[in-house]
Amino acid sequence: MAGEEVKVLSSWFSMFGLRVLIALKHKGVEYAYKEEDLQNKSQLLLQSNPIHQKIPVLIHNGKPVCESLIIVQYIDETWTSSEKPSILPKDPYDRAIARFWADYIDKKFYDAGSKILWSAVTEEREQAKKDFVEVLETLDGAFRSVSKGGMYFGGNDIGFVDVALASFLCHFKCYEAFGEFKIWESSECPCLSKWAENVLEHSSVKEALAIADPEKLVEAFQLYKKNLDAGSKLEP
Amino acid sequence: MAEVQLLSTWASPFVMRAEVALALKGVQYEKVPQDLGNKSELLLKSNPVYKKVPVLLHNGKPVCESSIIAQYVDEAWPAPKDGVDLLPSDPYGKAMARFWADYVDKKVFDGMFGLLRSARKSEEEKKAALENVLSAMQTLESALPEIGGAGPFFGGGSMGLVDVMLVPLLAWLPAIEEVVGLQIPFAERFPRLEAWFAACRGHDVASLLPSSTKMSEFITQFILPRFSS
Repeated sequence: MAGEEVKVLSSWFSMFGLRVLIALKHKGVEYAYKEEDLQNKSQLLLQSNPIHQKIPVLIHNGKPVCESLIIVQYIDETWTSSEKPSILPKDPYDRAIARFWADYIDKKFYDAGSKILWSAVTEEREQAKKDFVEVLETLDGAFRSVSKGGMYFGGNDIGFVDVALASFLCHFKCYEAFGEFKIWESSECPCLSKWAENVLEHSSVKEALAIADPEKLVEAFQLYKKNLDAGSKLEP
Repeated sequence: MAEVQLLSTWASPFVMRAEVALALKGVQYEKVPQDLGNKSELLLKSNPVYKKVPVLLHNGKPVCESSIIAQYVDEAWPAPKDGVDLLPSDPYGKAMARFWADYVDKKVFDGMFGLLRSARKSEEEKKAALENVLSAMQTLESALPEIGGAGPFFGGGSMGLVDVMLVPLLAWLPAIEEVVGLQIPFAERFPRLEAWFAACRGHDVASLLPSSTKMSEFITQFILPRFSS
């Protein structure tokens, strides 16, 4: 659309930021990407998200939208046309189910993953690994019921839950390296592991996740952890 | 079986949100009270992930999580004759409402329960908990005119999603203040929120909420004993 300005403030190692990029790619929306230094947040970020001061932020024609799942819904509701795919389903009940699982991912998955990466306490990390596997197995069950035989949570094309979860896949190598375990081998998730293979091949996901190389993420997080342990003054 | 059922408990602020949303939309429903100490088959089957209330059953199909229930009710009964829409029609307005609904759910409620948990702690810890609540209230105070305009509600002239998320405070907050022995100076510091409370108290939905006296008794009898001094 002429005169549209879409900017994304994000960080390559944030799975929340990557959700926004997947959604924009899926809708075919052109955007300008600004990589934020989280140790030195820009004025633009602080002004656009004064409440949480976090990425991602979508700025559409100067107006900021914050919180990744809220941004994804905004993208879905703003760029609508018969040629563009829908991210959320049309039916209110299906929408409620999609929101439920996206919310579940935010509540349960992120926490377990973070503890695997950053917890200094062995028991806490071991518990986090168990929680992580349990969450994956729950999502495996969810996939069976919501995908209705399709390749994705959204059915024949990616939807809200796919967007919410796919970006975590880049971090799987990190969880495995720090947790010293193999995710798919430690869990009973035949459907979800197939989903993971498929979703990473989806063009919108592949393009969006190109900036978050899993090996580079492992290196970056290992360096970060080394600095943390060495008592550096860097803030998380 | 009624077309719409709500698995509920009288004291849960999350159930209150669902009830207020249904009332605002003019949706008839059957309340199905639950015993959380002895969870029913229906509850466990309808919400296997969290096993909590509220659960909305629409023609037997369950919807869980209060914010998701409110949005579902809004979308399943659009532009009702005897009710209002909970979200504005434009995408940006929707995003703003969802943002503040999320803020209420996370920061305001966390702050409120943190204040409650401080009831049996030191004066210093109580003060710190109060500071948290005051900071969240300050933020809400600024947000009200931004999204609600002249108000009195966050939804403007009528209640909307953010109001639905916040309204359980009508029952819970005075009860928590009483139990902790601290008061939030709404009139002096947060006049728009003070006006919001007054508008909620005068609204039909207020009759759906338990009295704060009943809440205080409940908190004192059932919740406080869980916190060690």
